[in-house]
Parts: sequence; C-alpha cells; structure tokens
Amino acid sequence: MAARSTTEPAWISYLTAFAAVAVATLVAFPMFQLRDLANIVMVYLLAVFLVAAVLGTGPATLATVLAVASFVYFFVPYYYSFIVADFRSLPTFALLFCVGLVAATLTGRLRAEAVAGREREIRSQALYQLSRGLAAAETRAAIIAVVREHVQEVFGCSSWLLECKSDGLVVVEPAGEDPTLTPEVMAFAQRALRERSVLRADTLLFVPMIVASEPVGLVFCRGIDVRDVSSLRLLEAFANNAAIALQRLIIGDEARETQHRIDAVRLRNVLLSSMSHDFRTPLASITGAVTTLIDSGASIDQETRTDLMHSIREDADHLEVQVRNMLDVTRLESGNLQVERDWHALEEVVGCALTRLERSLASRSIKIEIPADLPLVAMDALLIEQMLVNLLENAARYTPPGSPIEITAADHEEWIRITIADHGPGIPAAEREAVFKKFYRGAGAKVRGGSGLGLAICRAIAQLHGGFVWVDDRQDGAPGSAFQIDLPSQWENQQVSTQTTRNNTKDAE
Amino acid sequence: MNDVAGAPPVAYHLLVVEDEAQMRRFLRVTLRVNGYRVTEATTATEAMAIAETRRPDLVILDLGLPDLDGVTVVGKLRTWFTGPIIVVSARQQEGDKVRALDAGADDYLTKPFGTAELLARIRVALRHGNRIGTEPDQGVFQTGDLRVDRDRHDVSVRGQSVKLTALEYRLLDAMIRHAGRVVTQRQLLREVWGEAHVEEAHYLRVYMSALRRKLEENPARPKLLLTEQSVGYRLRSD
Repeated sequence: MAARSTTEPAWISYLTAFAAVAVATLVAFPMFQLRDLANIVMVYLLAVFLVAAVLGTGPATLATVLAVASFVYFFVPYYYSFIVADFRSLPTFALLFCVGLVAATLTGRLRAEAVAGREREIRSQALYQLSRGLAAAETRAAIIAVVREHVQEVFGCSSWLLECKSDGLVVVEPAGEDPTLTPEVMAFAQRALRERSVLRADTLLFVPMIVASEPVGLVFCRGIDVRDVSSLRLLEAFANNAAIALQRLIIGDEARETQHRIDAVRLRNVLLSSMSHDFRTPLASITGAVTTLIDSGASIDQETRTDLMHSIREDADHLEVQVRNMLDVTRLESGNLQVERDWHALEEVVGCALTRLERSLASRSIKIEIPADLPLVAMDALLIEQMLVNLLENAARYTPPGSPIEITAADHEEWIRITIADHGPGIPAAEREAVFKKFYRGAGAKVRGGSGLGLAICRAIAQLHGGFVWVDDRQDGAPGSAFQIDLPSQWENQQVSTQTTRNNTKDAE
Repeated sequence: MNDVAGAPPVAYHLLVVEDEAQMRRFLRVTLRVNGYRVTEATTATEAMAIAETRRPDLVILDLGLPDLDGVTVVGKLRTWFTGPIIVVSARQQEGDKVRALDAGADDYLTKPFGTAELLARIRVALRHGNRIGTEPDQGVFQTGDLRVDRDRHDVSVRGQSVKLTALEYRLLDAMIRHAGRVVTQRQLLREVWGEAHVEEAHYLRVYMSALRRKLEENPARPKLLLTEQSVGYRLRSD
C-alpha cells in the first residue's frame, strides 16, 4: 500500500499543471481588457498555488515557469512575443517567478509530509496488526503463519522463515511448501546475515531477523517488488518483530524446561533421603536378625529363632514394597509410561491384588461385592492392580489387625466405581486431599513407616486412566475410611501419556 | 504324584543360568538341599554349550543375562532342547516374560520368589516333561474341589455336577492339558478359538469369568483358575 499510493504517472501531473496555466491565461484575457496586470499576476499565482497544493513541487515549478512565460508572451508588450518593451515590468515577472517557486516548494513540502504521514500511519497500522497477531500466537507455527500472512497482505508476496541453527540455515515453515533454496539463494541469504542488512536479488528479498544485534534468522521473500526505503524499513520491522516473538517462545520453553529440571532434582533429593531411611530401617533389622542367627544360632531356642526368621521375611517384604514404589514413582515421573489398556474383568484384577497380599491380609476378613453383570473395564491391569495393592496395603497397615475390609464395585454407566472401605480410625477431613500428595505422611504413617508414595502413585494411576481416586467417609456412617476409585467405562482407544497427567496432578494440588 | 516332593529316586539334573552370584548361590543351595543335581552357567553362551554336552532335565533361565536377550536364548534352546525351561524375570521385564513363554518356555518366576514357589514350579514342569507332550486327553482329572471326567465331559465341583457350555468346556479342557503350568493368553486363544483370534483377549476374559462363576466358590478369590497378571492363567494342580 505504502509503495503504491503515488502511482499516478508523473506526466499526467505535469499535463495538469500545463492545463492549469492555460486556464489561467484564458481567465486572464477578459481582465486584460482592463489593463490590470496586477490582477492577472494574481490569477497566475492562484493557478500555481492550486497546482502546488494538489500536485506537488515538480508540477508547481513547471506551472511557475509556464505562468511567467505566458504572462510575458500574452500580456506584456510587445504582445505575442517574449521580447519585453518596458523594463519596468521586470520586477513583476521576478515577483511572480519567486512567489511561484516559493509556493511550489512550500506546498510541495507540506504535501510530501502529508503523504509521508499517511504512509507512516499505514505502516504503523500494519506493524501494529502484526504485533497483535504475534502476541496472540503461542506456537512457532502460529508465529510464522502470522508473519507470512502479513507479508502477503502488505507486500503481496510469499515469504519463508529461515532460522540460524548450528548446522547452518534451516527453513522453519511451512514444511510442505518448498521455497527452492538453490545454492545461489543460500549464498545471498548468508551474505544478508553477515552484513545484517536487507539484500535484494531480482524479485528475491532477504531480510535478516536481528535480536539484540545478533542475527537469528531471516525472512525470505519471493516475487516482491518493493524499492522504496520506508517499505523496506517496514519489512525489517516485521522481521525483527517475528524474531522477538520466536525468541520469547524459546525463552518460555527454556524456563519450563528449567522448572522441570529443578522439580526433577528436588524429587530425586527427596527420593534419596526418603530412600536411605526407608531402606535402611528394614535392612538394619534384617542384618541384626541374621547376625544373631549366625553368631548365636545354636544357643537360642527354636521359638526365638522362628521369630527372628519371620521378622527377616517381613522386613524383606517391606523392602520389596519400597523398591516397587520407588520404581513406580520414577516411572510415572519420567513421563514416558504408556498405559496399556485392554478390556479386563475387574474381579480378576481384584483377585490378583488379593493374591499378592495374601500374607499381609491373612488375618482379615475381606468381603467382595462385584456384580456378576459388571462389564469389562478398559484399563491397564498391572497399574490398576498396583493401585488396589497400594490401597489394600494401606488398609492393612493403618487399621486394627483383624478388622474387616470391604471391596465393592458398582456400574454407574459412564464410570465404574470401586470402593475399598475399612474399619480403621478414618482420615480427618482436612487431611483427605493431602494424603494423596507425594511424601505426605499422616500421623499414622509417621509411626508405621510408610513411604508417603503409595497414595500419590494411586492418584497418578487413576488419572492416567482418565479417572480419579479420593477418600471419603464410609457410606454406612460407621467409623473408617472409604477409598473410592472412579474409572471411565468408555475408552476412545486413546494413548494417554503421563505428561498430561502430571499437569493435572499439579492442578489438583 | 508326590514322588518328587521328598528325595527324588533319580536325582534330576538342573541347569541354572544366572549371572548374579548371590542369586546363583540361593538357587544352588535350595535345589541341592531338595535333592537335585545342579550345574551353573553365568552367560547364555556358556549355558547353551553346557545344555548341549550335559543334557540337563530342566533349565532355569534368568531373562536378564549380560550377553544375550532371554527370549532369543529360549528360541535357540527350543530348536533342539525338549526338556522344560523355567524363566526367571525381574519386575521390569513383564513383556519379556510373556515373549519367552510364547517362544517356548514352560513357566516363569518373578523375582523375588520364595523357595516353595520355586520348588512347586520345578515339580510341575518335571512331571509334565515338556509342553509338547501334554497331559493325556482321557481319564479323570482332579484338583481341589474340581473333578473332570474327560471321557464323558462331566464336570463336578464339591460333588455337585456343573453344566458348562461347549466353549467353556473347551477352555477348561485346555487349562487341564497344561494343569499346574502357566498358559499364556495367546496360547489359550489359539487352542480354544483358533489362530485367527489370538489378539481377542477379551473373549478369554469373558469366558474365564463365566467359568469361574460356575467353578469357584468366590470368583474374585479363585482357588482353581488362577490369574497370572498380564501373562495368562494357571489351573491349580495338586
């Protein structure tokens, strides 16, 4: 637009200037009857002013020259001749000429400023539109699309973004469209980057993108015909805005990456400190018991010996649980755990969990109510089994020995609800959300040495399935906790990654 | 049936392939105490050489060997070795376990495991010889509360006759052929539904569920038809 606003051919302006003087001459003739030269001069001046105002300096200058010439030719004796009889009229010509020229220059300048102002406005409008578009763009692809769209709109040409990478210039976008980067084109691009200035070759234009005086890439336009400086400035501004937007994106990514790394390091530290405690306690007790058996096995009675051996076994089991939890957490945290869903019978998965816990649940009566017509549920059986194991293990650990545990399932059409209810002391309402956080240990867990990971793992597993796990009062109002798991009964065959779930977990916290 | 439980009349020769010294020691001590002859190998290459020269009756193979992938070892052994193979896996190797079974291993153990489990697996595996020579298709099969007269297709639990559909019976029959050993889902699907349906695990789950409802006292705590999570099923055998 900026480039095209003065496209009227110049010769028309000059012709118009000529016509204006002609008209002035015609108007002047009747006045000439009155022999009033001053008024005739005024008419010519008027014509010159008008030409200057409308057409600018060039045509106005021509008009001035023509006006003086016409004046001399038609109205100053000898008439119809350029020969001047009376030299006293010379100041009049000079005056007409000077005033005409001054008017031409002044009005021309005014007009040029007006035009420039309009172009400036168009440019800043275009730039404003671009930066507004860029501010809304949240991905690389969006940023590049915005730039291309604006270049197309303002300059009417296709463009591509090339980015400086360690291995040279690379086309960023759009992937499918080939800008045909011949070696010559690349050489030009490199030169434009080196010189940090706009470079033109035919209808190709290379505009470097500069951020903090460092070239980060360039905008490459094909089929562009823009030669005036202000339009090139605009293109440069486009390029730099694009560069800043891309930079902002990179910085954002880096910040997120850093935060992620910090989180990972913190998790590792907490894991290590909790590990050393959780692993050392059972290890110490195993070592103690075994050394007792080795050193004085013969002198202790059978009952004590059996007792020691049972304690070794329990501690070994405990260690196994700790290791398993740790592995689960690192797997979930690393974000590359794939949920392998398939249709499973819930009762089968419950059965597996109970088999695994046979020893720790030996003293419990476990009531299972799973409707015979419960449909198959889409789940990763290993993960759901792990969740049930964690919940049941908790029940076994934190409720009085021998107290019963109930496992029920109900079909709510859109989801399946599994409830594990115990007859323990229950969890205070204020702590019910906190227990699902990593490394949170309730009062009971501090005494009984839980790792603070079990329930966090449950929460992550439930969310990986698009479900949820929480703890509530028992339905029947008796004291105790009821852990509820909702799993969706629909499955859209979607791969769920832990990445999204981790974000959900954060939201929930 | 109980002839191997105490001191076996002929000492069976077992090849233990395990790279961890502590684990090898545990296996050696336990197996010798229980009357088996034990040869040890620490790598797959060594194991295959020993298997060829010493002809063991059974191979216990760790899946996490340093030199060769466990599944490959099973495949190589199976080209000529007809005795039972029991694979031992760590918890992170769920997938390997199933692939090893499908490649021809007879059973598996997941670390950590107890002595009782180890000995039970070996006992069942040796009793059956290898998977190619399965249980005969006739006679009466009995385990726990379950009694199946395979000549008359007659099934009873705790003395009560149970009516099974044709497909349910075929599933039960397949489990009986492999009694005591794990059968992978693919294996069962192939034997009962046919090669074309080996991926349709949900058939199996539905029918297994129905079968349990008819045979088990408490289908969620099965005593006969046991689930081996993400591997397959195992019919308990006395």
